[in-house]
Amino acid sequence: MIDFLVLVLILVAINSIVAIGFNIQWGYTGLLNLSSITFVGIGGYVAMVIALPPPGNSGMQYILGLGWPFPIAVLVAMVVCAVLGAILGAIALNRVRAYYLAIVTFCVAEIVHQVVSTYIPLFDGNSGLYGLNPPFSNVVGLANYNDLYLGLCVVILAIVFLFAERLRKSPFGRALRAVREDHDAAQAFGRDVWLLQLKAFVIGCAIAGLGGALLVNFTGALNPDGWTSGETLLLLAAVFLGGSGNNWGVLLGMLLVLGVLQEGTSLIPTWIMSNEQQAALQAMTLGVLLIVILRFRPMGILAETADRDRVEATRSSASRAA
Amino acid sequence: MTLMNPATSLLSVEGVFAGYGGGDIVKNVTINIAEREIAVLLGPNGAGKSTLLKAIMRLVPRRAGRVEVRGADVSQWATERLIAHGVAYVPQLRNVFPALTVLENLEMGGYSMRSGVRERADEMLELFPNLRAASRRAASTLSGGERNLLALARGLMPGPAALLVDEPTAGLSPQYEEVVWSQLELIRNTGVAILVVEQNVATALEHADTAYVLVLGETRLTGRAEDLKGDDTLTSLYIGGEG
Amino acid sequence: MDSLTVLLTSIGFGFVTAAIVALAAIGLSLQIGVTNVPNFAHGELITFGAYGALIVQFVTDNVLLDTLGGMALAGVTAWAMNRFVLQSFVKRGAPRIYLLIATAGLSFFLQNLLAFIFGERTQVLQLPAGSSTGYHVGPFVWTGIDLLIMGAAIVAVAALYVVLQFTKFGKAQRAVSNNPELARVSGIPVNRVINLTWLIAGLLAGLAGVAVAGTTGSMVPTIGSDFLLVVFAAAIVGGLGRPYGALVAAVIVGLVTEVSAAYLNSAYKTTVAVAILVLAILIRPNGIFTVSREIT
Ligand SMILES: Nc1ncnc2c1ncn2[C@@H]1O[C@H](COP(=O)(O)OP(=O)(O)O)[C@@H](O)[C@H]1O
Ligand SMILES: [Mg+2]
Repeated sequence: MIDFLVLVLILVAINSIVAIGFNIQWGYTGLLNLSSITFVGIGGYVAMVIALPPPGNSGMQYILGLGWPFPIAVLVAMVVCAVLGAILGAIALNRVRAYYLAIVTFCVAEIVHQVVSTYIPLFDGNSGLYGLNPPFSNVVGLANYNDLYLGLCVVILAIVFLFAERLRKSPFGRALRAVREDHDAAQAFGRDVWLLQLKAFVIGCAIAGLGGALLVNFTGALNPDGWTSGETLLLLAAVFLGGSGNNWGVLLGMLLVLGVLQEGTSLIPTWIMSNEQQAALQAMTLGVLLIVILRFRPMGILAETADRDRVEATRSSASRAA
Repeated sequence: MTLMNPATSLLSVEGVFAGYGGGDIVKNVTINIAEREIAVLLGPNGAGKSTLLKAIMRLVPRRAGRVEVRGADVSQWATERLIAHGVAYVPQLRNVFPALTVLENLEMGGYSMRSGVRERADEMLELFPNLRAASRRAASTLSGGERNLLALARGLMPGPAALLVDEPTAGLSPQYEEVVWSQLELIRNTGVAILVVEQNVATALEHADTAYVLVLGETRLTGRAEDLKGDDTLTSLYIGGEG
Repeated sequence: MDSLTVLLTSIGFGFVTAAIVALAAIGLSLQIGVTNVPNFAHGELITFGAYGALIVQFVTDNVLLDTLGGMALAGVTAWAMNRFVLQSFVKRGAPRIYLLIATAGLSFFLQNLLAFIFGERTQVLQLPAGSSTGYHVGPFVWTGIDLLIMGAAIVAVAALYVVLQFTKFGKAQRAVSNNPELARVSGIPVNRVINLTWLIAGLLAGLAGVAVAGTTGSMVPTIGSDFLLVVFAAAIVGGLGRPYGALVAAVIVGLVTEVSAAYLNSAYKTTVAVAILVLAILIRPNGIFTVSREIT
C-alpha cells in the first residue's frame, strides 16, 4: 500500500511540474496550449536518446544514443523543448487570440504524435523506447529506489514551484496578466504583446520537457500511447479544478485528479467492471469533471489571488516591464 | 411636434440609465418622438449616442428607465419582441450581411414577416432606386453609401413604426449624404417615427424636426431643429463638452 | 500493375476518401461559421455515426436504414451537445475559449462512453451483398460500397447547397454566420438557427462515420478521432466557416493522400494530409485561420 502511494505521489509530482508549466501559459498569460503533453513526450524521448547507449543490437532504432548522464539528458530535453516551443510559438502566436493558438497546437499535437509513431528511425515508432536504467541506481541500489526518486521529484517540483511563484510576482508576471486580461489595452500601453506571450510559451514548454525527462527516467520506457490527447485533458482538468493562475491550486488539482480520481478508481475490484471499463469510466469522469468545473466554478477551488482590483497598477507596472 | 410631450408620442424614452457593466454611460435620458417625426441625436464622439440606441433595443442592459412604443410599456421586453412590435434598428457599422446578395439582405430583414416578403422587397427597391441595379450582387461589393441605404432598407422591411438609425451618413460624400437624408424624409412621410444619430450638425438640423444633444451621457440641450440652428450653446457643447 | 494503372487506382481511392472527408469537413466548417466555436468533438460525431449504424444493424440489415440510424444518432448527439452543454455556457456569457475546452471534454466523454459500452475491440459492420464487386467507371474501378459512398456524398452536398442558397433557413444560416448581432436585430431566431446547424453538422458527420466504417466493414471507438486531423486539415485549408472551400480542400486532401500512399509507405497517408495542413499554416497563417464570418 505504501509502495503504491509512493508510486502515485511520484506521478503526481511529475505531472504537477508539467501542470505548473501549463499554468504559466494558460493561467498567467491566457494561452491555451493543447500540445503541452507533446512537449512532455518530446522531452522524454530526447532525454532517453541522450541517456541511452547506441541502439546496437537492442532491436530498437533511434537517433543519437549518447549514453550521457542523467542531469545532462534532462537539460538537453529542456533546451530542445524550449527551442521547438519557440518555433511553434513564433508561428502560432502571430494571430493573438487564444482560440487560434488552441487550434494550431491541437493540430501540432496530432501531427507530432503521428510522425513519431510512424517514422521508426527517430524513436522506434509505435513500439517506443525502453531499457533506460534509473539514474543513480548503480550507486544507491534498487531496494528503496522509488522513495529516493520521489524525494528527487519533490525537490525539483519545489524548485519549479518557487520559480513560478517568483515569476508570478515579478513585473514580467504582472505584464503577462495584463496581456491576459486585456490584450488590446496591453498593446495600447506600448508593450510587445507577442514577445511577452512567446516568452511565457517557451518557459512552459521547457518545463513540460523537464517533466517528460523526469517521467522516462522513472518508467525507463516511453511509447506513443504514453502521451495522447487524453493526457492533455487530465492536465486541463487538474489546472481548472485547482485554480487557473494559482500554483497551490494546481498542486491541489493534480493531487485530486491524478491521485484520487485516476488512481483511486483503479482500486475498483474487477468483478464490478473490467479494467477496460474502469479506464473508460475514469476518462468519462474526467471529461464530465472538466465541463462541470468550467461551467460552475471556472476559477477553480483556489481562485487566483485577487489582483483584479489592481488592474490599473498592473498595467502601469506592466508597461515598465516590457 | 411632440418635444417633451409623452402623451402624443409614438416612441418615448424616459429617464433611461444604461452602461456596459462598469458604470452608467447613458444617464437619465428622456426622448419623445411622434409619428412622422425625425429626431436627431447629436453630440461629440463617445457621448453615448450609440449606447442609447442599443439600450433602447435592449442590446445593452438598462439599469433604470422606461420605454414606451405605441402606448405599450415595452421596458421589460426582449429585443426579439421589440422588433416584432415594430421597432427597427440600423447599426452604424457591420450593418449588412456582406456574403448575402442585396435581395437576400432584404429577405433577412423581413424574416419575421409571414407573407409578402417578395412584394415588400420590391417596394424597397422602388424606394431605393440605387439598390435596384445591384439587387443580385453580394452586399460586400456595394459602395459605402449603397451599403448604408441597404442597411436602411433592411430595417424598413417589416414596416416598422419606429426606426433607430446610427450615423447613416458617416463617411459618405456630401451628395450621398443628401441622398440618405432625402430617403429618411421619404420614410418619415410614410408615418414612421425616426431617431437618427448624426455627426454633421448643420445638415442634421436642416432635415430633422427635433434635436437632442448628448454630452457625457446626459441630454444637455433639446429643441426644435430650426430653433437650434445657429445656437451658440450647441457649438460650445461640441467644443468644450461644457454647457 | 503498370504505372498508369497504379495512378488511376489511387485517384479512384482518392475520390472515395475525398467524399468522406468532404462530408465531415463541410459540416464542421458550416458549424464553426454559424456558431463561432471550433468543435473538438467532431470526431466523436463521426464515430457515433458508425456505431449508430451498428446499433440499427442489430435490428435490420437494410443499408439505407442503418445509414439513417447512424446519421440520426450523430445528429441528435450534436444537437444535444449544443443544447444542453454549450448553450448553458453561452447563456452565462462564458468566454468562448471555455466552450472550446468544453468540446474537448465532450470529445473525451463521448469516445469513452462508447469504449465503456462496446469495449475497445473492433466491431463488424455487415456490408450489403455484392458490395465488394468492382465496377468500371471510365478509367476507374470502384467497389459497390465506394459508389454508394460517393453517391451519398454528392446527394448530401447538393442538398446542403440547395438549403444554403435557396431556402429561407439556409439564408438565415449564412446571415448568422456573417453577423450574428445583425441577424438578431433583423428578427432572425438566432438560437434556433444555431441549434439546427448543429443538427445538420451532426447528420453530415454521421454519414461520414457510416462511410468510414463501410470502407473497412469495421469500427473502433477511436474511428472518428483518428480521422479528425484530416477533417480539420480540409476545413482549415478551405477556410473555417466556408463549407464550399472545405469541399474543394477535401478533394485536394483526398487525392493527395491516396496518390501519395500509392508511392510512399501507406502508413504516411495521414502524415501527408498533415503536411498539407502545415504548409497551409506556414503559407497563409492569418488568412486561413481567421474564422471567416462569411459563408461564401
Ligand atoms: N462594448 C462596449 N463596452 C464598454 N464600453 C463601451 C462599449 N462601447 C462603447 N463603450 C463606451 O461607451 C462610451 C460611449 O460610446 P458610444 O455610445 O459609442 O458613443 P457615441 O456613439 O456617442 O460616439 C464610450 O466611452 C465608449 O468607450
Ligand atoms: Mg456611435
